[in-house]
Amino acid sequence: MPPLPLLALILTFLLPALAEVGQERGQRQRQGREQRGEQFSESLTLRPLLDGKVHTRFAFEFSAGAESGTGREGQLADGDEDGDGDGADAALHTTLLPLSLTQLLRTYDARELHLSLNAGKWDALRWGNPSGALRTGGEMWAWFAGESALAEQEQGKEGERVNAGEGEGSPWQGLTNGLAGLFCASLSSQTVQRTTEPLHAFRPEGDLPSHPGYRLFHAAFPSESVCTENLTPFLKLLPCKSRAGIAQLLNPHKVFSADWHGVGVHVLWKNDTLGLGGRTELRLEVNAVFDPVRVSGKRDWSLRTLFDRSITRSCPAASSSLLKVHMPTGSASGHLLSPPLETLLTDGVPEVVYDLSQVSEDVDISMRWEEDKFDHSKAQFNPPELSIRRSLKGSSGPSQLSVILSNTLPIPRRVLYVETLPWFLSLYLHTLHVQVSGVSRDDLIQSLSYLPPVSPKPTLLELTLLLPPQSEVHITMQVEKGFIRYTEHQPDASRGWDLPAAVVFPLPPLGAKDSHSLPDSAEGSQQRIYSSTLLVDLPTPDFSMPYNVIIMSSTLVALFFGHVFNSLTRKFVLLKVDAVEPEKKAEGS
Amino acid sequence: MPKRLSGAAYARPALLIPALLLLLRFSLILSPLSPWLRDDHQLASPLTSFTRLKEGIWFFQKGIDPYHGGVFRHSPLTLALFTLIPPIPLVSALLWTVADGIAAWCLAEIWRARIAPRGHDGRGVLLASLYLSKPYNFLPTVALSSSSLDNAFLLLALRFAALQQVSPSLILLAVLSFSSLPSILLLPPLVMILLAGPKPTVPLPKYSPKTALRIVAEFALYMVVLTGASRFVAGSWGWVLQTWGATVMLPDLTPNPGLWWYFFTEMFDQYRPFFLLTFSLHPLIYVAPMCLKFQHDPLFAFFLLQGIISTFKSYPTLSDAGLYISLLGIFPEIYSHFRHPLVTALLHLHAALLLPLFHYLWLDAGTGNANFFYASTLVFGLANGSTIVEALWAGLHSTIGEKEGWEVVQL
Repeated sequence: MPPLPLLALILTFLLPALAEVGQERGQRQRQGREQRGEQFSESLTLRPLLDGKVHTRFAFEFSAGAESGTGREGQLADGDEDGDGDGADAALHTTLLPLSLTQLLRTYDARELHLSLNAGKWDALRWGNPSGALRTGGEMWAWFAGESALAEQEQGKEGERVNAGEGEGSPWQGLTNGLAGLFCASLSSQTVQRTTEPLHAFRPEGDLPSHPGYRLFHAAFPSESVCTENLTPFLKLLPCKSRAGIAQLLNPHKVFSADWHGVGVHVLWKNDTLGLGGRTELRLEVNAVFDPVRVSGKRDWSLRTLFDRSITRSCPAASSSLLKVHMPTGSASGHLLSPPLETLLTDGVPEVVYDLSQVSEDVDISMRWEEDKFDHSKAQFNPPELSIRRSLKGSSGPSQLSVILSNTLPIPRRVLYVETLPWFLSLYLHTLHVQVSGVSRDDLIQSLSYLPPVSPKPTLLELTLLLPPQSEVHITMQVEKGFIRYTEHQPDASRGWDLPAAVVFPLPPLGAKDSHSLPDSAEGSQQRIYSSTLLVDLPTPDFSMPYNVIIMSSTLVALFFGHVFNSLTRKFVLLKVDAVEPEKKAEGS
Repeated sequence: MPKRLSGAAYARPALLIPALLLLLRFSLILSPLSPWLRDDHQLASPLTSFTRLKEGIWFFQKGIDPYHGGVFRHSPLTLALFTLIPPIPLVSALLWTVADGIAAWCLAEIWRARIAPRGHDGRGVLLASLYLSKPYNFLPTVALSSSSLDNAFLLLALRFAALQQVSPSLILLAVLSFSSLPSILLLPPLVMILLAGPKPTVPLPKYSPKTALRIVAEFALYMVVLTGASRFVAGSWGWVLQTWGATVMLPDLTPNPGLWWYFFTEMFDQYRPFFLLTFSLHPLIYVAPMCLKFQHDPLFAFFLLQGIISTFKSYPTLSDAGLYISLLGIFPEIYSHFRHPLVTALLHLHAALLLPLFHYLWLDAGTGNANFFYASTLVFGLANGSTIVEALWAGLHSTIGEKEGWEVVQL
């Protein structure tokens, strides 16, 4: 048995020295990478919320430049497929960008990708509507480019449009399978049932080269949950894993016990200002809403209490490493941030920014409130500018889907309302009605695009509406619940089906922008508001009955057939009844 | 051509009953009862539901192909009709009431054509009243199910055939086969009625193959013309798969009183095509034997085949069974030859009580499961099947007739 304590002792002495060497080398490498156009920066934003909870958002941002002239603008780290050697070699070499992810994107020619896996229910009233994906469950959407998408589109025009682009072996299917494997998420099992191609929603957040042929696929996985097995591969994509930098705080035990938690992957393509080349931007995000009040009855928090960890060293690969704390406004009781630092005003939000690129000792940041106990009842919530509520009513016959969109601003708002339903739910659009405080206002619908369900593909309804100022708009429509085969039911059929959240996109006022760029694409991350998910109860057959049903129905048919042909093949005759000799009659017949 | 009886021959007070029944359904269609019944699975199938019809019209009027997706499955001819008439409840109520009135009148006319010139036609009014008052016909009409219109088409086609009017009869059957594909199986007995008349004939009538061929060719012509018209209305061929295709492929597994829906809900996927083929072809095998056996009485063959179609079609509603039971009234001569009338009647009663009850328990109350409703559809199928078997047996016996001191035996 080797002397373990001795080994530990040696390591204890050696490690700091090694770390220092590593740090120096890291800095040298960082300079080298920046010349080659690869960058990595990380930030953590802490946002104390009105109800005492704390929203934490980890953002790990990668950026890789690509030179123009390779003929494939917009391609991630320009894959050189002409075969001149050095290009391909350079493209495949990434020092910071996770190769497993970039390879996937390059293989399937995806120019923009968004994947998010969240759990919990986002409370827009108390927590606001920050930008970013806040959909409960999984969501994935990607813009595909290149010859493959183009070729399929042309093919689709000629022949079958139904399955073009999302069947087996298509880029979308491939990417979904790849990401499912990469993040250990069960995205691929139901891709076809979930995939839609929205016409107006989910515009690219980055820039896409101008030539046509870009196709969007979107899928929502409302029952997909997120857990440690998704975070572990996520952390592996970071250059410092969870060993250094702010990723050190990502303690699965804490993150996954938060009220709301989720991970997100966002890949964008941004053009250079000159329009010659561009760069790929990759953002990995972790969002969590913690509830310190639940633990201590007070709003006080520190990195240590939230994550049960602290930052001990900085990630040498990061060009910047920031920790931002949004200072609460409009709160009666005072609060104290330690270590104290000057409050800056960024985009109208007072925030304190700590630079964590040179960490030499444990960093812990805390906020204390001058109160003994947090009183929920005193908290004042401002209703969000836009909000959506959705419900489904009715048992047999068509159910009623009612959606309430409310606009609290004193100006009219244009919004895009997007509803995706599984194929067994079909909307009756002739029952679609819009009401504002009891008065029918069907004129508020500015445009409507609808893709009826074709089994097993989902329904997609995109509705552009004008919300009058300070109003609640009620949208109602009837939904027919279909009956599906026993093999199409989920294993836990009696639980019901999760319906994906409806999405509302605020649109610029009509005339303000070119009508083609419906939701504002230039402003980077576009705001989206998600409704909660719904559970729909489908009538189920008896799953143990297949044999019985086949036997009983077939018996009925066979009985009928037998009787009919028994009668039809007989010949009836009249026979003289001989009253004296009944036996003879029997013989005669 | 049989002698037509003038209106004066009706017993005037008796006519009040059908008139009142028509008025009742007219007012009930306009009442809140109608929207409540409209989506009942027993009264309206996906192929006949008024809600889906309105959805299709909505799409059609917006210039979108209504046959994309799985909601609208009515025929393009129905679509064309309903885009022409104004979409107000009063018009629909009037249309369905008139259709039922025509159906009931046709039933009386067919009866009269069959018994003329013997003429005790008080029974005609009775048949019409029974047709109008039977819940199986009454409720689908109140629910504005287009199966009531199909019934009217079928009876009208049969009436024209009974009066030897070839073209109207064939046109109506062709129109009917667009909304209810299995009805095309009624062509052979209809042709026989056109050739031999609606009355049973003791020496076998001579069927001229040449005339028969001419009639079939005429029918084919109407089918081609109507298919072309449908293609013109729908703008593409998508409707074929959504209407006729649905009858054969059963894409929509909404429960109905028939035998298909649960069978194919529970079917193993690898056997689905085989059983779809079997179930689709099953009614076909009865056509030739029935027509051959009842050469002397093609109207009876028509009646039996209509019963088989009602029982075994893929999307039946209660009005299909209602029509078949109503047609039974045209053949009073067979009643005395029924073997087990009580059993059959009780089966029908049993099914009529269980169907709505178990449907409610499964889908509304949530206290029963799908097997309950399936069991009641089985009973309903059994009741319909045994009615056909009874009628077949009695029809074969009554042909022989009765004679003192003689007995009918089968060889």
